Amino acid sequence: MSLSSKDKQLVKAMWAKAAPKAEEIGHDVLTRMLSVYPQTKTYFSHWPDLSYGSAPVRNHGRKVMGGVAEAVEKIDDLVGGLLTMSELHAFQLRVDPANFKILAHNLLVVLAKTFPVDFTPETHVAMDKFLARVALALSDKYR
Amino acid sequence: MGHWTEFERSTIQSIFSKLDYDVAGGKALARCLVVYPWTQRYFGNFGNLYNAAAIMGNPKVAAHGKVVLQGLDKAVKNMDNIKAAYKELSVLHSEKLNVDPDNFKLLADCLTIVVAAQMGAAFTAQVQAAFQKFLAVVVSSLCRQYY
Repeated sequence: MSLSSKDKQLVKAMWAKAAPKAEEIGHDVLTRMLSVYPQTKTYFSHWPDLSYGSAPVRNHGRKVMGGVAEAVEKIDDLVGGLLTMSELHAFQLRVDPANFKILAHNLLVVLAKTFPVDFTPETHVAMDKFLARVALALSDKYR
Repeated sequence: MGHWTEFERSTIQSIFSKLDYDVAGGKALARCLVVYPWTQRYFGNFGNLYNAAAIMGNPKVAAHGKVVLQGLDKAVKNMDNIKAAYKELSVLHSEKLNVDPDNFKLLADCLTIVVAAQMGAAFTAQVQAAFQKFLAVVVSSLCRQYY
């Protein structure tokens, strides 16, 4: 499901609004994912504290949002642009790609609750397609 | 399945008591038809579904959204035995409507987004977990009579 130029426009516009709140959004997304989908906690057994507001969760939320921001910039060539990220996820982190969908869902929920007016159905479909493509690019080097 | 904590019970009752059944169902269904356009296959006689604006303004979509939400209300009123309450609805969806059960999850996700947008900050992780658990039980009950 490839991204039309309208999709790319909508993604960039939504991201421009979200970027100033990136830290708080990233934190919300991660906290939500860890509690609504407890199986995702299995990847963070090395963190002493998984609770809301904890430093590891905040830092990681920031990292993840940085990754998505990079993907927005490289929206015209996600597989090429996210090559290093893919290698990281494939060889070191070895995150089961099913979890990319889970993270994406939580990002959409947080965008909806933070920007109820801007997160129109058209923006929703563009973001959903974009995140699916990001997930595909991230899993590119898996096998 | 079907075991609810006090928090989950009261959260679900509270969410649904605050939903405008005339509006929320239609919004969720319209969003589903826009975000997952293949779901339009079940609505061939709904007229103009050519673009997002048409879908969002389509009166048949709005009316059907209300029907869907009234169906969900049945689950809200029978939380302790959604499986039994949904037996006929499940048969209807599998034998008469021939809906691919994967679609139930898509609509459920769209309803989650609509509720999140309405509740804003009040849609905490705990509330989301309760809501999604409820919808998962509903979806599973709808899938039961598929053979």
